Amino acid sequence: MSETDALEARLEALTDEDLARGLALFRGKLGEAEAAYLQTCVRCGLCADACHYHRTDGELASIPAHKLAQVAAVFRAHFTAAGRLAPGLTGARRFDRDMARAWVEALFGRCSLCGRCSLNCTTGIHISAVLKAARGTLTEMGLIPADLLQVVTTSLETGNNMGISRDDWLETVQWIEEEMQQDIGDPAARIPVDKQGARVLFTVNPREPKFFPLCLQASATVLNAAGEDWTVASEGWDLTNYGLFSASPAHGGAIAANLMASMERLGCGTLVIGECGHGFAAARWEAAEWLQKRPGFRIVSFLELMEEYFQQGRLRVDPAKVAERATLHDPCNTVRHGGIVEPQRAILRRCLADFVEMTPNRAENFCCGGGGGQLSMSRYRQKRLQSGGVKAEQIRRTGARLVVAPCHNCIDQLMELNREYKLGVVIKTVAEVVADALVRAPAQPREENHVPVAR
Amino acid sequence: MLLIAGVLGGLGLFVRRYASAPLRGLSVPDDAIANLLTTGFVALAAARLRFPAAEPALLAAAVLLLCYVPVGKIRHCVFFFISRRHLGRHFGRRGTFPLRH
Ligand code: SF4
Ligand code: SF4
Repeated sequence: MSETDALEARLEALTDEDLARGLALFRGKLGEAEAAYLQTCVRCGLCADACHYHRTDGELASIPAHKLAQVAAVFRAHFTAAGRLAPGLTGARRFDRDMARAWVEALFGRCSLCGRCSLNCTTGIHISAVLKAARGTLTEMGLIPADLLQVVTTSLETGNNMGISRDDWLETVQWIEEEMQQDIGDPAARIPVDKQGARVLFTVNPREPKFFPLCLQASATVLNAAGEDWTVASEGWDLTNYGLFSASPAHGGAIAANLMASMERLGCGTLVIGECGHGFAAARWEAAEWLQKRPGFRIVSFLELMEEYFQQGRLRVDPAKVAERATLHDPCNTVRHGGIVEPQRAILRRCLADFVEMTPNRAENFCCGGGGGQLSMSRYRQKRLQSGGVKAEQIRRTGARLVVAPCHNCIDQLMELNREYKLGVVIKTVAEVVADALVRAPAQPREENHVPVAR
Repeated sequence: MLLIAGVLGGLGLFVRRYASAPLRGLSVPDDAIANLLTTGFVALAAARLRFPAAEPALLAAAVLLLCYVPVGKIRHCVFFFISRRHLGRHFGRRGTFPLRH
């Protein structure tokens, strides 16, 4: 049975008890904020143009307010007197099988949870927060696309979202370390593993060891050049957290606990989240909520750390080394949901000879279309590529040949957009650009910071 | 003058809502009722300034309007502030607000 059919079968099999349970789950996700958001929409339609889905397909169902209305309809029908007494008046609709299907279509199929509509709502509704609460309800009812759930399950079962074994991870780290030593001509450069008490624990998106080892090599090169006291972990090293996309606090909390456990085990002072938007938002902002516990250490993005190095004069770069015109993509979870807006710009202005901004940019930038778990939901691939048309056009208008994207989900989507829309660009992380622009001091003998582990 | 501008604005929004296909698609009966009640109230308030005889109609419209507030979308005049406060707190805490350009 195909994935689409399987989800359809689950929808068909919904009983009244399932729907009542779903409603109770939904009710449990509504705090004061969500309840207020659900009562505030005036259906002015001004959020329509904020959404990359609506901008590319022009469909009514893609207008953020329409997606919000699917959720608000259920809220009104079940939780407000007016909705119970006069459902037709306010568009209230009971939570039945058709409504559950409409939620799946709207919340998984037409939304990347980018949050751009929230910033552009005239009445201040955090639309994506409401859509996320409803998405979480579907997940807990078992109405989540199987391939998205699989990513979560793999993380929970193996400790990383690609199921990379400990041996493979450690072998890859060793291999990248050797490549780096050769590349920079410094045999003392290291990727320390499980270094107890290191100042910084550096965490990685599994796509790097699996598909993009040069990205990990670039990050390691920068950390070595800055003389950082750092380590990666042999276990609990994956920074991704698809609990953010399944919108289930139980998933998110269980996955976030891996990083927290690594910090505790290694006794590091700062948890550094490599270049990954959702991984940063999950660890920095959501984990404390999911785990109901404040972390007792600092959590920073690698972008912030690299900018600190520059401010402390620990990195020297020559912008002439990266001469082509370059632009920056703002991942929604790094910028809009993460609040990391300027460090990446300050870094790129130092490292690039010709840096141009996209329009719009920063918190107003458009989603690439790959967020919200869209990259793992094969049934919505066409819609995802179509919605990425806005980003493709933004890139084209800059005339850039190099697109810098501090997020691996975005990089995957941008690579597909590059092919689909024939953009002819190269896509790199910020660390790759810094590594390209680095002016290296001659190799110095340094303190041995490599702690051998059983590889 | 202000009241007349209000009436024209209300009528303009009414026409816009039903002339634009996406807005029509988003609309429910509440949108028409809320608009007509508010616009009607403002029109009667304007009329009352010139014609004291319009006072009973104005009072009736005020009662209707106030009764409708908790039922329909006019309630956003209260929820607007609550929503904005939550949105501002959420994005402010994360450092997204104030927006930088
Ligand atoms: S901008 Fe806000 S109030 Fe207006 S339709 Fe969109 S969600 Fe509703
Ligand atoms: S969160 Fe993003 S994708 Fe979802 S409705 Fe809003 S603008 Fe569209």
